[in-house]
Amino acid sequence: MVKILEDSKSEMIVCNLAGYCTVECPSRNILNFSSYSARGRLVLCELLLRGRIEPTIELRDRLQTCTTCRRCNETCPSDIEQYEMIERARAYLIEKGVPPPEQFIPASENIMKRDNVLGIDQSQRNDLMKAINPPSDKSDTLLWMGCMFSFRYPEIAKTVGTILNTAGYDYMMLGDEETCCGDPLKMIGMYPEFEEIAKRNFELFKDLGIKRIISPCPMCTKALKDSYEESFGETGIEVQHVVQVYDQLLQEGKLKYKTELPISVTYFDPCHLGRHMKVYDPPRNVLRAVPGLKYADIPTYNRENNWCCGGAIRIGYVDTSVSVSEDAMAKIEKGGFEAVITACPQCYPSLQFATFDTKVYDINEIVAAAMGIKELGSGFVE
Amino acid sequence: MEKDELYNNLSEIFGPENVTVTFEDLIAYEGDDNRLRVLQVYLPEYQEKFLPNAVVLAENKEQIVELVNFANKNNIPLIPRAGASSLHGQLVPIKNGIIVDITKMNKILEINNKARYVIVQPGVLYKELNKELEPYGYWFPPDPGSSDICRIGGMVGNNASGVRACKYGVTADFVLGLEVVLPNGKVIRTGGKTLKSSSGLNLKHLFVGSEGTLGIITEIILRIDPKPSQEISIVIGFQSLEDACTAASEIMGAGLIPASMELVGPMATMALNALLPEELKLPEKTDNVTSNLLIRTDGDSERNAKEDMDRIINVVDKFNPVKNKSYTQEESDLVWKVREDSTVAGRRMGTPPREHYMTGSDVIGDFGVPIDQVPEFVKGTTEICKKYRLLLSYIGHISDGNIHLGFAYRRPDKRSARNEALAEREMAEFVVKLGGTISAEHGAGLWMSHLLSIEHGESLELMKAIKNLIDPNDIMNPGKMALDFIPDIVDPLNWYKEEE
Repeated sequence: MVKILEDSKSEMIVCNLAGYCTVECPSRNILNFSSYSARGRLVLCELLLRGRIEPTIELRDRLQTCTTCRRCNETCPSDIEQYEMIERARAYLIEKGVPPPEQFIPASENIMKRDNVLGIDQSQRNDLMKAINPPSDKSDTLLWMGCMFSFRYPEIAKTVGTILNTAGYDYMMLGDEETCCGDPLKMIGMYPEFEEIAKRNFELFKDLGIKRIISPCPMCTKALKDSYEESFGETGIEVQHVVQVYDQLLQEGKLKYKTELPISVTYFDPCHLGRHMKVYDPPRNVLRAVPGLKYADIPTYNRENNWCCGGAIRIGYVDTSVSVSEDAMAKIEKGGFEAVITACPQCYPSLQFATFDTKVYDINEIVAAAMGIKELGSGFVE
Repeated sequence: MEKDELYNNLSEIFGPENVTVTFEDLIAYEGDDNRLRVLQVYLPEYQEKFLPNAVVLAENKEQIVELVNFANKNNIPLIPRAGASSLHGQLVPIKNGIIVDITKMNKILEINNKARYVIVQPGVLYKELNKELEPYGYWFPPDPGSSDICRIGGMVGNNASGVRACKYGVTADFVLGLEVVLPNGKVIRTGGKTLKSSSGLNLKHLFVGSEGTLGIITEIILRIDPKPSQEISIVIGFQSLEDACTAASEIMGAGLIPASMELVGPMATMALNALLPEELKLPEKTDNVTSNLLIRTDGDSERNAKEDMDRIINVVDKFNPVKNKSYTQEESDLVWKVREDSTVAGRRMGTPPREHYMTGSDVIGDFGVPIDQVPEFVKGTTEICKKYRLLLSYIGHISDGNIHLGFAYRRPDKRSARNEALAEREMAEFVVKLGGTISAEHGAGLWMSHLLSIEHGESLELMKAIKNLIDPNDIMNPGKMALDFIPDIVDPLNWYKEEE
């Protein structure tokens, strides 16, 4: 079972209210009041558990506007898992009868009834699988595309398949049997619903004898790895983001770059891949190996210090989310790069909507272009 | 005034997006004082007593003038707030009122390296200012433990300092001029851009360290100094705390002034080592060491810094050092960062699985004594703690005699909290006898206010008269620094009676 808020009580006592988590909190930087910072949210969590405040819609909004970036955990001198506590408090509120933001209801219903967050016909996953033509019908390695890439960015999804196929990597796909990983539900605190989805997926993986899952989506990767382990204990399944696979394939000489890409770029660490899973070097290795590519980190805001794109709260709190994206883009622009590259289907649109001059690419587009298997797009919303 | 009326009035001044009267926002502002938070668990009668009525996000001086006039007319207290990293209850809205958050006033208005000053708004982050000064080869050196989050307005309000105060000074030493909105709504400018002035009474220093009790600072002119380019650090372990203290005062006695020199006592050594990677750990029990001196020297060249350090080591050699360890620049950055974080991270020492051993307290003593009196201070405070059955950790800026005491007790309850506060009072009396101060850098705020008369005697009466002259309606941060009244909650004798 996922941890509940009461389990965090001793962590709350450890909090010294030092406030290191306030300055770097993306949502507080927009919403300004202390109650929208990690410190403020933690105070609210503690007072909620002590019964000094009631579960209310107002409280929910202060907790649900957290962008889930986990920057607070990184800044905390007492190593408190602040984000996890905020997530548990969201679940606590739902348990006490305070619903999640109403804008999220359709998305959660889509997940529960239509097997994907966007509510699109699942048969499109079969079309995607057919287009990708995975090397195996049955393999112990599963390419899990995720809802966003499958439905919103199918061209990038196809590119992922082409990269892996060209590198001779063996994997299978699930077609319309792939559903939501459940992460969007867990993130907003719908724990029982998440458990239901996760259990169904985990049973399927066991039936199919899956030993390894790879995914281009950081949220799916994090959910299938950490959240499933939290729910079911040791799963026996290795879960990796595709950039980790590309890095490995490059080292083994199976993935080869042929085309020069003479542009100056930087990498935007997705929160779920970086701070949540500590995957920092593989994407950089993959980019630094591209011939002609001039790579540098975003000044100050890189790796565990990276800003957040705000994408995780786009459904519930669009204005705040867009402002967070703009803050992130402003930090990227200080580096004067031609393009910013990310590896996440939330960061990708968030940065595209916020950019003026800087091109935005998904890392798969860059890898495919460097391999000479696909031309690089314009880097702007088309 | 009714909530809606207050909201409407404040919204007219600040815009609705910059005002909140929502309970879930307000309680976060009450709940962010640690000592209050813990006391409220023991003393439920104080729950929800100190809620602000509203919080506003100020964007400019004109809004603040309007606010002050409104507050004065309606007798509503105002509590200015910057980074909110103060430790002595400076921000507790003791008579409720309006929290004036100035974090949006965060512009650096001018950097003039030729004339050696900067002009900033009060919400500028300390670390951002130093980042902007870096290309000029300048810095603003006071380096409080909260340097990642504190803002210049709060540093001025508390006269903040930290590990570099001995060599470089405290915030007050750098304040050249201030713009202040007074409680009557008038705006004054005091001081200016020059590095010195002997013209008139030095009003600017009246506002430095005044904790928002005399007005709201809206602009600050600071002196900046050239930044030394090289630093080296070393840690020296001693068999006893006393040896470490004696060695430190002998270093100063020999005319050597390190950039920083920290005393890390036995419990603090354990706390720091719990956070440091193996190769950087301070010498500890297994090395026959109980206490350490963490020393940093700096200069324009590595040679200068090293020469200073060699002279220090020569002096220390006479005082039974057991083991020393030097750090590379990169290692040293981490060690000093951990040192800065240790005060807050120390709480984890008391959490499971060690909860039956001790509980980290919320009180961080901030006494300062003449440095040659530190050994005496350690002896005396240890005795006082024995009497009250408290454990004590020593960590602090021994180079200026400022020692932070971390209390810990075996059983977290009302009685222990009361004992702790009583010990603190007894220590205050002892420290003043040694020629010291009850708060060297954290300020008196709320929690030290009942101890101020011990240190200041008749001077406190003059301070009260000044407060009354400037703020006759007592709207500016009431209940702080004993300038108007001492709130009930401060006195530990009100918390728990021995016979209970």
